[in-house]
Amino acid sequence: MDRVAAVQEIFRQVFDKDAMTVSPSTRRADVSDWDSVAHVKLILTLEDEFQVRFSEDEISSVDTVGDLLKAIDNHVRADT
Amino acid sequence: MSLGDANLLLQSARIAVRENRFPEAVADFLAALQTFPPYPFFVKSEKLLSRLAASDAWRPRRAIKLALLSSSTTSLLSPVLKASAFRRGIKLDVYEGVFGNYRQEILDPNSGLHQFRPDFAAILLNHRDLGLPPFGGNQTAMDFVADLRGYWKILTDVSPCHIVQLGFDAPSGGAWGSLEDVLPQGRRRVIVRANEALSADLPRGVSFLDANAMAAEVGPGYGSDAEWHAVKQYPSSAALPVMADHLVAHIASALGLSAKVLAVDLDNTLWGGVIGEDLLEGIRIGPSSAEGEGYAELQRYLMELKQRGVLLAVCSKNNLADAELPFRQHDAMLLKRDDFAAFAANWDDKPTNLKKIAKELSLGLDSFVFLDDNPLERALVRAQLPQVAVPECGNKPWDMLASLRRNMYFETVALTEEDLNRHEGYRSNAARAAAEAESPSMESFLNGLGLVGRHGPVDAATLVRVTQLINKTNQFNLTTRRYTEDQVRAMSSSPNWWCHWFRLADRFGDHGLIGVLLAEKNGGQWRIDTWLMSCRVLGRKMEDYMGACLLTAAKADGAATVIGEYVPTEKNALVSNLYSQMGFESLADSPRRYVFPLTQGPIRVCEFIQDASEAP
Repeated sequence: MDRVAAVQEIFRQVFDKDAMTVSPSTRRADVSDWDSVAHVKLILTLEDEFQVRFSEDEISSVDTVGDLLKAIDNHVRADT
Repeated sequence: MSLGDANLLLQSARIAVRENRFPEAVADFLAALQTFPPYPFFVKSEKLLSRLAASDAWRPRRAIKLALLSSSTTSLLSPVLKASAFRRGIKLDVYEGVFGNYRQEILDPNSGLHQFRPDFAAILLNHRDLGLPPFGGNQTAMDFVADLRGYWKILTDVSPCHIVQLGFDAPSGGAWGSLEDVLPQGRRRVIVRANEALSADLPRGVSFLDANAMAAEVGPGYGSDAEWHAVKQYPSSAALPVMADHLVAHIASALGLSAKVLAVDLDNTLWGGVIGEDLLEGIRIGPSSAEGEGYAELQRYLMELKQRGVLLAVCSKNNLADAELPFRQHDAMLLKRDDFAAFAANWDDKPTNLKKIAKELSLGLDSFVFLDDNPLERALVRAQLPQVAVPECGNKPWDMLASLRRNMYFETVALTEEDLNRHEGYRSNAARAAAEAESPSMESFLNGLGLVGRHGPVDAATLVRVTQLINKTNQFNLTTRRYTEDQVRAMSSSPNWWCHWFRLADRFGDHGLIGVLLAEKNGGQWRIDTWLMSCRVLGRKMEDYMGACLLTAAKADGAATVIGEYVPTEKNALVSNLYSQMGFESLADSPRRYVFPLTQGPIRVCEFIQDASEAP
């Protein structure tokens, strides 16, 4: 499973929507349930899934799914 | 597949559900829970759990309605609680009170809390609620506790239920360091005293759950400042699985669902080695080795359980004479033959023996816990007797002990089932009327908060925060219109717009900039384009204050009417009636639009919030 698909799977679980699709350009503002609590759930679940720990800056500056992918990328690369 | 991997088991459960094999999905999910997975597991499995809980494959022992009343967010806790209850055979219907509004919800007989008619209400507070200084906070804490105990009565008078009161945690690392422990009025000492006062002479139907036991179990990281500031989550998400298990074990105990019998294997469970082969001299128990010490400590724990009324039973594949030998002749054995209410040592399979023991003791198998170092025996019992609790316990004495502690099967609350039902029949209008007459009123509560409001025009200093609120506020938001910083700047600098920020403070602290009103001036008619408020100040009449400020400004500007609009979304049902409540009249020809005629009658000022705004 490529990384976008893996992230999409997490979105489906957190937002409880089986058919939800996301792409790097999906904006936080366009996902109606993406509030601060959902954001924390997403971050914790992504950290668990990819075995990474995001920085406060990365967490608070997420505007798009692409930002999340970039943050995952930073850490996965840095750690290997 | 490794039994220890919660994620693999979760995946397997998902596949089983997809293929309509629900009993296997339930078994996989229970096995995953038995590994005590970390918090993210519960987010990922929330949806799956709700499917399993609704399926016929799962037969709960009890279904209850639990209300969460908390000074912090409960939306992260709720899925973990449901999973923990699932593991214990309890189906939970959870009501999440409006965050930080537990007092208002208790006081208002028509609140969501009282309409929910809970069986249990958990009041989850933490040290922040006490707002203690490092030294000298004793009176503050005692006043808080006395006040809280008053709310118990009001709550149960209106909604008879069992209250679980969480005590206050006492975090270390305060600015005054160890003085906070040592000085008689040091902060941590005061918290200890507050917990004593809170848990002393509990009225019937209230039980106390100690937060410091959970905090100690979780260790450092029980609270996370980052999560508190980001989403008002306390304790940290990492601590929630432990907190949920403690709360559910407590509730299970109050329901009379705690286990009553601990059935144990012998070889490599109560002692190291195999008695039939290693003989009396060869088994490891007592001070001869670390392992032997470990088994002695496990036996001591079992002895203490027995002293508290838990029945012990042996369930072992052995010759009876071999099995009895260590109990009769080994000096280091703490447990003796007579400590066991039932003793099954033979070559029958374990499910057969457990059934025999249950019959002998006249107890249901659902009150049994089965401890065995052998994973195959555990799997067999789980498969054939799903009602028996079988912990994953490893094969070292300290791991088995840790597993028994962590599972809290034998939790007891000083309370009988009888207590729970006592309130039945009290649900009369007479009782409700009496409650209203005696209890502190919403008015006195709000007056006691010392609310101070301020507002002013959006300017460069407030632009970023205002834009942020405009783009993230979902619940208290009448129109949910999102604007960029540039758009907000344009509106706020235009003479045709009235764009104000709102701040609120109370005696506990400053809530900061929590509200925004954007109104467009169209000649004699103002149109409220955007009205929003942060959820964290709900229940403080801030909306009345905001409304009055706007109407006053419009009147001063010479407007004749103010038009308001409600645009429904999935999230903002909370404010669907706001304009009606504020005295606006709905426009006959356009639904969800409202008008306030400024020319008729005075503007109602919010009496609970003192206005500290600078003169315009």
